[in-house]
Amino acid sequence: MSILAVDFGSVHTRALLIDQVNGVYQLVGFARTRTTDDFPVQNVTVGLGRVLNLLTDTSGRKFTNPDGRVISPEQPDRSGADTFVVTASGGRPLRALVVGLMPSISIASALKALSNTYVSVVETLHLADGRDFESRLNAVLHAFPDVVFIVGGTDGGASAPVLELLHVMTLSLSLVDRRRRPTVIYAGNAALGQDVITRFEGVAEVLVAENVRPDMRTESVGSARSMLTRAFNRYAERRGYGFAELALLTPSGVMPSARGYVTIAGYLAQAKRERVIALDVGSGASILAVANAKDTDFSIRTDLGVGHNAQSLLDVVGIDEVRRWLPFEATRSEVRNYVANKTLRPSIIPSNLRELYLEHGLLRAAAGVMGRSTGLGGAPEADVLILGGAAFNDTGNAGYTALLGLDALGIAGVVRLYSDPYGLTAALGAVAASRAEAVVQVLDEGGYAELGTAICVSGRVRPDKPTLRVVLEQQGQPNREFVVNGGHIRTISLGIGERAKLKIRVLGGGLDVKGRRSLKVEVIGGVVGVILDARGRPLLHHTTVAQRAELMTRWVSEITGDEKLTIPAEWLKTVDEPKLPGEARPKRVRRTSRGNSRQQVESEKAEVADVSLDDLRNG
Amino acid sequence: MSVFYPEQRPAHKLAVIQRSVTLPEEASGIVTVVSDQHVDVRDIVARGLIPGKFVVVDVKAFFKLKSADDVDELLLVSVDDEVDELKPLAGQSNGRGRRLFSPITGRVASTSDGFVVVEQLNAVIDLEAGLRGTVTEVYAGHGTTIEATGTQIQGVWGNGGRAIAVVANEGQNPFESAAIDVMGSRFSNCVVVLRRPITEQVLHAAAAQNVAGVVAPSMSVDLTELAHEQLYPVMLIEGFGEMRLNRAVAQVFQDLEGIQITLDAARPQVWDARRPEAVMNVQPKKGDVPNRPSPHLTLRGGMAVRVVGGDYSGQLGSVVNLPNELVLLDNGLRVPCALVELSGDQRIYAPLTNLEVIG
Repeated sequence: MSILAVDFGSVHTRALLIDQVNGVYQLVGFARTRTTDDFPVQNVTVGLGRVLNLLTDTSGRKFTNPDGRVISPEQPDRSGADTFVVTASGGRPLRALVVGLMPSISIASALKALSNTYVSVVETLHLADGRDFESRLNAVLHAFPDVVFIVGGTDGGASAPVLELLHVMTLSLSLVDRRRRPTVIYAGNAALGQDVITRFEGVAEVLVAENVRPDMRTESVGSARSMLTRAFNRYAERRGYGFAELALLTPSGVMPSARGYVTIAGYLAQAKRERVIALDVGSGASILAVANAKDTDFSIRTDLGVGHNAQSLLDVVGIDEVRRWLPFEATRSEVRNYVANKTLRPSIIPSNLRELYLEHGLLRAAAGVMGRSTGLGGAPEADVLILGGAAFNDTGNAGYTALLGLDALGIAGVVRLYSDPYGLTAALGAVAASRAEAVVQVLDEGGYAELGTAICVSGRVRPDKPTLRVVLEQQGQPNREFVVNGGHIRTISLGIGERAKLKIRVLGGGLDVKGRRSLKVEVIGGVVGVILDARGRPLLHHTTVAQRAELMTRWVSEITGDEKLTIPAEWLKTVDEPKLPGEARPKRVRRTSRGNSRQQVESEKAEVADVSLDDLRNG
Repeated sequence: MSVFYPEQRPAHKLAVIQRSVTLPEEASGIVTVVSDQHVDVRDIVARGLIPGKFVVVDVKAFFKLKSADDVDELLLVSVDDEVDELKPLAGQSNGRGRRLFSPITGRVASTSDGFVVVEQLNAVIDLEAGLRGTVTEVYAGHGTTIEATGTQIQGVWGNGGRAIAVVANEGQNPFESAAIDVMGSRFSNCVVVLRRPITEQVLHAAAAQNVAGVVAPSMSVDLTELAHEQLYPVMLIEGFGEMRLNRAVAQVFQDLEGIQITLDAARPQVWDARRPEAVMNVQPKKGDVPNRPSPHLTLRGGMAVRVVGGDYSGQLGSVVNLPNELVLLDNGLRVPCALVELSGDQRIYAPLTNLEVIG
C-alpha cells in the first residue's frame, strides 16, 4: 500500500514516496523543485509534474500517465501509488472574519479552532466591540474575507444576541459581488443551525459545525476545524495558480501542511511520554507545536517567515531583535535592504557571510516570537526537537542545522535532535487519520534525519573554564572522558541509532543540566553525534559585537568541524546610521506622466464614472 | 546534478510577451475584451470599482413604522439607483411631505429589513492594455492576459505607478543636474533610465523635471516611502541596495532611446505573481525569432545568467558547469551551485537559487 504525498510550500514543492519494505512502511523516495506560482508559469500543477518526474528519476517508478494525470491506485507494474495526498502551506493565507458574542469566550474558542490552518484573521466582530450596525457592515465589506466564522451562544441558550450579529452579516454579505462571497461556517448555538442556513439562503454557502462552546465549561473545536478544511479547499479552488485543479486531484483535496506538525508532535509525545517540540520557520509562515503526553499547544503565524514574509517578520520583531544576533555592526538600512530583497526574491540563499548572519538573525528572531507565543520560556527544555523547513535544513551540514535548532529556541537540558529535510511531517499529518500504522512505522524506521543528542548547560558560564565533565560509557568500548570549557561546544562521534550512557557533572557555580549538577542519561547518536553544549543559557546575553564575532564563528566551527571563519576587524567598528530622507522637498509640479494637469485627469475620471455601474456590478 | 529550473526575469529586445493585466484584488469589475480579440496600447481591457463607504439609513425608525414591511410603500428608490443629498430615499412623494434624504452621493446598494444602504462611489479603475497584442486569456471580473511581440524588461520592485512615454537614458551627466528651461528639461515627460542607484535628490529632481517615470537598478529601502509618494512610476531592476545597472539591461534601454514604452511599475504584493516591467511592441524582422518564456527551461552550461544577492549581485555571467556535489561557500554553507564566469573572466560559484535567466 504505497503513499505518494506532495507538499506545496511557498518556495519548494516536495514529493515523498512511502511504501512497504518487508511489510514495514518506509520513506523510499524524495524529490524537490521550486513551486511554480511565479513567472512564467503561475500554475502549481506544472511544479507537480516536475517533481513527479524527478521522483521517477530517483525511484524508477512512474507516477503520471501520458496525459499527465497522477496514477492511483498503484498498478501491477508498480506505477502510481495507492494513496495520493496533497498538502499546501504556500500562497496567501485564508482571510477569516470572526463573529462571536464575547472576546474571552466564544471568540477565543474560534481563534483556537482557526489556529491550526493558514488563516489570517482580518476582522473580528462581537457584542462588546463598541461598533454600531453601520460600522460593522463596513467592517465586513472592507475586510474581503474568504471565510466568515460565526460562533456564540451555548447550546439551547439565549439566541437573541447571535441573531443580532447574524442580521448584520446577512445584509453585509448580500452586498458582496456574488463571485466573491465567502463561505460561512457556523459553530455557535446548535439550536440556531437551521435558522442560520435559512437566513443565508441565496446569500452565501453555509457549513454548520458543532458548537465550539456547547456549554460554558466545554470547548470543542474538532468539528469546526473539519469545516475549516472544507473552506480551505473552496478557497484553494478559487485562488488560481492551479490550486483548483490540485484540489480535484485527491478525494481529500488540499490539506494544510501545518496540521502535520501538531499531529506528529502530539503522536510522539503520547507514544513515548516525552515533551516534543516541532518547529518550522518557512518562507511565508512559521509553525511551532509543543506537545507532552497530555496535550499539544501550537502556534501558526502566517505573518512570520524568512522569505515572502521577511518584511512582515521584521515589522513584528523590530530591527534590534535581528541585530542582537549579528557578529558585526549593521546599519538599520543594511538590515532593511536585506529583508526587502528577501521578500522580493524569497528563494535566494545567503551567499556571503554578512547575508548568512542576517538570514540566521531573522530565523532566530522568528523562532523567538513563536516560542513566546506558545509560552516557552527563555531556555525551554524538551526531550525531542524536530526542525522543519529549508532555513534549518538547507545548510549542507547537519552540525550547522543542529546549532541553528538549539539556538533558535535556546533549548536547554538533554534533547534529541531531528531534522526534516524531506517535509515528512506534512505528509504524515495528511495520512495520520487514514493510515496511522504508516505514520508509526515511518517514524520508527528513521524517516527523520537523526542529528543526535545535545547536552545543554543552563546558567551563566565562566568563559574558557571547565564547565561540563562527561564520561561516555559504550558497550564493548572503554569509557571516555570529556571536559568542555564554558562558551564552547564539543561533539562526540556516536552513529545513527547507537546508544551510550553519559555520566554528566556540571562544574562551576550557578550551572545545571535539567536542574541537576550531576546526572546519568542514555543518549542516542546521529549524524552529528553527541553535542556537549557548554555555552550556558540564555545565549549571547548582553554581549558586544566583538564578543559575538568571536563566539558565533567559534560555535559554527566547533559543531561543524569546518575551519573557523574570521569576522574582519572593520566590520566591528561602529557605523553611522545614514540620514533618512529629509522633510524639506522642492515643490512638485502636480502634473501627470502624460503631461495632463490634475484638473484634466479629475474630469476624465468623472466622465468614466458615468459608465453604468450595473455593468460593473453584474459583470 | 538533478534538473534545476531557474528563476526567469527577462530583459529581452525581442520576446513573446505574455502580459497579465488585472484589477486590484479588492476591486469588483468587468473585463471588456474577449479571447482572441486584438487590442491596442491604450484600449481599456477591464474596469473595476473598489467598494466605497456604506451608509445605512434606518427608514423604519425615521418614519416610526412598526414593521419593516411597511417601509416598501414609502421607498422612492430602487437598488442600483444613483442618489445624492437632494434625492429623497423615502416618503409619501418625491416632491413634498415628510421625506428622508440620502446623506451622501452614491448608489443604492440595498433596500431591505427597513433600511436603505447607500454606497459612496469610488472612481472607476480603468486598465489599459499597455501593449498592442492579442487577448489570450480572460479572468472573469478580474483581468486578462495579452500576448504580443516586443521588448520586455522585468524589474523587481515598483511604486505602483504606470506611464506610457518615450525613453531617455541618463547619459554621462547626472540626471538631477539637468537644466530646466522654460520648455522643461530633456527628460520632461520621458521615462528616465539611470545606471546607478536612486538617491533622494534623484526623486526630487524627477518630480521637478516632470518626468514620466524613472527606471533604476536599485535604491536604499529608506527611500521607499518617498518613492511611493511620487506621482510618476519608479521601477527597480535589481533590488534594494547599491547595485548598478548591468550592461545587458542598459543596452536594451539604450536601444530604446526616444522610443515610446509602457512602464508598469507594479508594486509587488507578497502573494501576487505580477511583476513590474517595461514593455514595447516590436515587429520582428524577417528571420527574427522572438524569445518565448519557457515553463520547462532548465539551467544548462553556456546559459546567460544574472547573479542575485551577495557580493556579485546584479552582475551578468554565463554558466560554465553545474557540479554534482554541494559546494562549500565562503560563508560556511554547502549548497548546490553553478560555476559562473563573470565579465573579466572571473569565475565564481553561485548558488543555483541565486541565478536568474534573463535572455
